Amino acid sequence: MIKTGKSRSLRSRQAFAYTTGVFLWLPAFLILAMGTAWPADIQVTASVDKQELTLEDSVNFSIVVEGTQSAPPPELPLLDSFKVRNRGSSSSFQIINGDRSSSTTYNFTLLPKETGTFTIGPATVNIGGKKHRTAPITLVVKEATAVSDTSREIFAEMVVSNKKPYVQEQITATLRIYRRVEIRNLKTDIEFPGFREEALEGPVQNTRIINGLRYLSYEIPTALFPLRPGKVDIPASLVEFDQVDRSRGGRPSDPFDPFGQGSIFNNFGRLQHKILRTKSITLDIQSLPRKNRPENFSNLVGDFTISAQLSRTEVEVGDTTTLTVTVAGQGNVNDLSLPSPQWGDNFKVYQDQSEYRPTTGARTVSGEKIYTYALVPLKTGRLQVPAIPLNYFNPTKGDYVSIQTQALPLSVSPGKGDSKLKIVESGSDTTGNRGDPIQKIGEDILPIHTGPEVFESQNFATGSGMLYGIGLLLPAVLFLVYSGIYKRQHRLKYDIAFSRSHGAYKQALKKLHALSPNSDPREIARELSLIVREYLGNILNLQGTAITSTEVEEKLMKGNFSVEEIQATQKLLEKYETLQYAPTTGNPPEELIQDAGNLLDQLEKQS
Amino acid sequence: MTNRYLHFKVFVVWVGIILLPATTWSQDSTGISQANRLYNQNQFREAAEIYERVIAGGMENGHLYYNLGNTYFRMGNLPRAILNYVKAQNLLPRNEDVEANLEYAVRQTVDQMDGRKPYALEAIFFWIGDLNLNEHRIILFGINLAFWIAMAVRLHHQTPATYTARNILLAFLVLALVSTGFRWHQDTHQSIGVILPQQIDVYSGWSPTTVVLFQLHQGTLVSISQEKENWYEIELSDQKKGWTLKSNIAG
Repeated sequence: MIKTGKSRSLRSRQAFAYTTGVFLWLPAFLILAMGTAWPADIQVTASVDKQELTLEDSVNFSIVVEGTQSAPPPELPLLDSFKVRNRGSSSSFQIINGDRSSSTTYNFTLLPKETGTFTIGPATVNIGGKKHRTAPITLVVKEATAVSDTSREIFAEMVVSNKKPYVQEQITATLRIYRRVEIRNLKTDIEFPGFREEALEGPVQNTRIINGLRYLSYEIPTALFPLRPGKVDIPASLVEFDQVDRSRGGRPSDPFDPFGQGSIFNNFGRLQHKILRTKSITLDIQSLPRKNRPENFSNLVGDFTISAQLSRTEVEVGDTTTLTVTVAGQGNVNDLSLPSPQWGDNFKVYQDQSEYRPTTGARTVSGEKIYTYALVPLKTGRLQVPAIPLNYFNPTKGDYVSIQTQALPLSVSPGKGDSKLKIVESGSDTTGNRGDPIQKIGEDILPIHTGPEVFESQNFATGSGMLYGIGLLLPAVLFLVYSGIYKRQHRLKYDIAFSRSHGAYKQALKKLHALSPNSDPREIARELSLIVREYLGNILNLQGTAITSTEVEEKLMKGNFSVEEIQATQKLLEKYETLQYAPTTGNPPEELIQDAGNLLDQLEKQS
Repeated sequence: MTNRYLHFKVFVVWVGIILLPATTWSQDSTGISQANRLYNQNQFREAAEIYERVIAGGMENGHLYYNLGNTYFRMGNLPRAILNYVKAQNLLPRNEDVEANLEYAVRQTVDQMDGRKPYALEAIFFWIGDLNLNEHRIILFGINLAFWIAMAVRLHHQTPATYTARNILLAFLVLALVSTGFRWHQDTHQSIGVILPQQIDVYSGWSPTTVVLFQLHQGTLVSISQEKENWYEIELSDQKKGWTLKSNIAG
């Protein structure tokens, strides 16, 4: 069979169409196939990357859902002996020899909390109402290999300032991470059950020499206040990080670079995820001694001072003065609950809320707690604001300490007229300082609104978007219309050519209609000639009406009139000239007027 | 005769159209007065039912939400009280009563935190939150009208003064347009919710098997950033975010 050029072209077009079809439909097919799940084909499996590990290892726990790419996250079994970190999920879709497969993998990291043999129970994935369970996995967790800390490149320790503190005595627990290698992505997991914690200044970075080796230390201090007596454990803390391994290329870096990233050229290297675990520490918390314990002791432990100050020392009966009591020092001052002083019957007293101002350092917690009282004297004369006692336990001395403020004199004079008791008052002291704040006695919500005028609907949804759009556009449209009218009027006023051409047609028609067909034909021809010339003069902005036929041709040509119209105009004007001087016209006047009207119509259309 | 009936029907329809909103408002007004009276008689449950009914009838009014907030507060339903104070504040952004009661109600919660994530653009367009959407629109329409009037005046008087006035109005118009747009976006796209249970766990993902990031307590205000199945992603003002079940949030 002879292949003609035509058949080759047809075949190549068919091949092109086939190829195009494949390329167009294949992605669509893939997209459709990716989202499709067949419950019957679904398999859920769980796996770990190792089954034996130490307390300083982590295990990667993966749950693979095969047969779908849109599986919901699995429900994990109870994992009390591990900390669980979610490392996200990934999906895959493959077609091999026409068989398609899709899967979703959920990845978790398990960090062991204790040694022993543990069974990871079945994880559950609920797909289409059917629960798919994984097989259980056994993990064996052993103690970390005993390696001397000082021979390691990186190690961590937890240090406490005092292993036998009293209840409520502040101690400092410091997590220290020593390293001679470059690390990144440092994370710590520190818990202090049985203690109240307060953050201290830090973390602090130092260099330390240990057994002749120079280490960079990273220290995270925490202030702890033991809550109960007896043996209390500080559990092992976890330190996670990525160690940079540069043995596979890259330039050696300085491990003492505090950020581990010295320069942009040192960013190459393999990251190796590692976990360190500090040793747990047992503290022997001592009870506060019963001996010498004051009656109104309120668990304040540390070293403190107390002071008192009056805002005004001379007042009238019923006036207010503010007593400020400040307890400052190092220890659990935030826990202080100052017992109510014995005010006697000389004053009416209103207590404000206390204020705590911490001044935290790198090793200790200190601060001051300020109590304010509004005192309203009830008697005149020289009164005494009673001394305010404070008892605390000093752990350094191992004994209780009692201190108190000095009694403060207050001179109260009779009122100058209105001596009624002012229960709550804002005033100012004699020094012109800010007056006593208004003492708040109680708090409540403000009452409901009842005025009928306020209950009109504020519903903004009543107007549609189109209405708001129209409301916004209307002024612009009105402006455009007004602007057009204004510009036209302005042009008519100041542009003579435009003004003349604007009314030319109407003016000519008016004159044309005013002609009487019964008049002398010569007179009509003269009038018609005048009307047409005047019209041409107006639309072409020419002065006078004495326009020759040649001028008409020239001007109309410039005005882009068609040759036919120009010739018709010339012909008509010549006809009118002839008729004006001819003894008889031969043309009916109505026909002459009609011809002129037709010409004006055509010229107007083109002008 | 037919025409006369037609005219009568048209007349009746027009009277109906004109009087219908007035009748509805009158019914709402009566209901609100009754609810206010019940509130003052400490019959809070009955008052709340009436306020809710009026709101369900389509009435949007900041004072109404405020009163409903007070009623829920008296009933001890702190989350609903806070939610209604927030709705009231949206409509009455400068009302001191609403602000005081919302602040007080938030102080009664365990977290004592208004966790609503501030609108990022409020740092620049600081006035957005001080006006409700309707006020923004009125200002926009006013400035728009003034701008086009200035344009028309400038057709007649092309002086430096009209040039400056037009340009100033143009600048204000752009600002009004942008701030109205942002406020509209804030009202329609920013969802606020309140925690309903006494305490909830906030997870790192939309599954209870994911890591618990933090805990929140009843009445805490949060911003809802997205939803997935029966989970909401919530955000707090201090950039914390996490997932919790929709049933834990009223919004």
